[in-house]
Amino acid sequence: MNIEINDLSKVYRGGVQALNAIDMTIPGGMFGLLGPNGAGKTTLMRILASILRPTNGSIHIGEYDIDTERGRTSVKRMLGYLPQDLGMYPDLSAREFLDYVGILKGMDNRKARRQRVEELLETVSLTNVANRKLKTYSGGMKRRIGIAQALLNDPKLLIVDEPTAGLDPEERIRFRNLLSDLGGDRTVLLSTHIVEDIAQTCRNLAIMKSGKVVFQGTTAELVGETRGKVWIITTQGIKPEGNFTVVSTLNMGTTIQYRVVGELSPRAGAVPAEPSLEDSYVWLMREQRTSNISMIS
Amino acid sequence: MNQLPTLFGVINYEFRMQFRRRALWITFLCIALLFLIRGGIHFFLVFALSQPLLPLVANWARSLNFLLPIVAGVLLADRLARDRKTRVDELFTSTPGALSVRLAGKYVGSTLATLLPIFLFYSIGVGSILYQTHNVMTIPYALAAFATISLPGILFVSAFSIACPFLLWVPLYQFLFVGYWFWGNILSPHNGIPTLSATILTPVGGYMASGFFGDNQQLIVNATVMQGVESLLLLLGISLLVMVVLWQLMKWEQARQ
Repeated sequence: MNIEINDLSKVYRGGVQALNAIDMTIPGGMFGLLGPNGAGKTTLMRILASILRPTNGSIHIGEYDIDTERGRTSVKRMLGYLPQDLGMYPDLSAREFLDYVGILKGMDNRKARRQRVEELLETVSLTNVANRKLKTYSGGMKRRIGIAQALLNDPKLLIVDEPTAGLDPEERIRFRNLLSDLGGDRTVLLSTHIVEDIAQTCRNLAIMKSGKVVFQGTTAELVGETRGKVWIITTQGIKPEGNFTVVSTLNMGTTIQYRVVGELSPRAGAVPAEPSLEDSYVWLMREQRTSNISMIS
Repeated sequence: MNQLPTLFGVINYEFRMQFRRRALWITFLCIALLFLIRGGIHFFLVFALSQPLLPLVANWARSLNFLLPIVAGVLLADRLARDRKTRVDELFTSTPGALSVRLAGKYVGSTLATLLPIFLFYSIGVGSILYQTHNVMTIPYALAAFATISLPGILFVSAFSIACPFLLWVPLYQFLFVGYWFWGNILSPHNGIPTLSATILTPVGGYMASGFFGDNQQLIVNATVMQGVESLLLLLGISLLVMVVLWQLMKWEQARQ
């Protein structure tokens, strides 16, 4: 199922422009939405989930136009949504909470709903603690309940906003794998500012900055654009200076290895390196900053 | 989507969540004890035996309605605000369950749960009257009195307590509500201070008690059946109106976000 976004803008009360004339096509499968904090990702997710209304522009999700009440209701029926800050009633147990969300999602058959709840509790490995009140759950357990509630109605469109924020490395990997499995037969929109999450799960992505889409394509295309701009500079400890951005620093004992992105001419101690998605992201953000500065001046 | 199963589901869970609140039971227990100490024992030992059954039962229902709705109003005030505080509203808005159905379910479910301790306390009194009078008609009279005297007032209070905190800070609403209750229901109009007491707008249920059951005590005496009907319909109509206004306000707020 494709999502077509045309000329989408969102201005909040008080005049804050969160989205600025966005055009985007989101194909089926896993799709990553990457960008720094405040880029407008959450606003876009909320509009797609019919929680917010856009100020301008149109969105078609499959055959539905979400500018109409009927379109929004149809999209909600096939939607699974995991918000950035998932709210829960602390005094309900996980089993009750999932049952309640199932009711709101229109799963009227009690037996089928309860069976689905049990399946998902099993999927997220929370069956043994399913009767415990949610207020006793850790952050990671709550995120797992979050993904379980999003999957209750077997959604064709799954929107997950910063799902791995606050998870430990092991839980993050488990979460990524789960999302990858889900992306096979549905559209999964993964919004994050953690590049690694996208690198490990998505073939297609868009990068947002200050309410605009600054890149859309495949991860391979983004990485390809950065080829020849990533270098490894090894020094005795002195931080190298020049027209580049340091991506990472690795202490090798007697020397320090800097991984940098920038327009660098080959020089002593600088070795070209194969770019990663993180390098490409840093390069793109750097380019954006440079073009903004030149526009201002 | 058929919204009726959703409505029943929301009622079920809102009932459970309110029913499980320890504050609900502790507060009602304290108020009930206070009530018994301050006059309830006298009611059962002296007053009850000197009255005909019908006004006696109505008097018991109306007596409870003087204090217990305050607790109900205060305990229901956080139900809607809690959805914002716990941030479940964002998730629920993304579901196809209609806002009107969620609101109606919250109203009915949490009100029923709050009514339960009131009804239990009322039933203890009814049991006592039954024990003293040995008249089985006590039970149908008591049910009729509860449905016409207590229920409309509680529904009225619940509607305001769920709706007003949408616009007001919950503790401020609770403070104003308690103030309103004493001013608009207990203060005598003969004091010279303008008040809603003894008007058909009073949720204490005096017009129903007097008009339907002949319970002529306190501020309202010799009300007609028609006045009782007017008061009852007015309380129910205003409750419905308040909930519809809340629904429209929330829809409007959602659309302009």
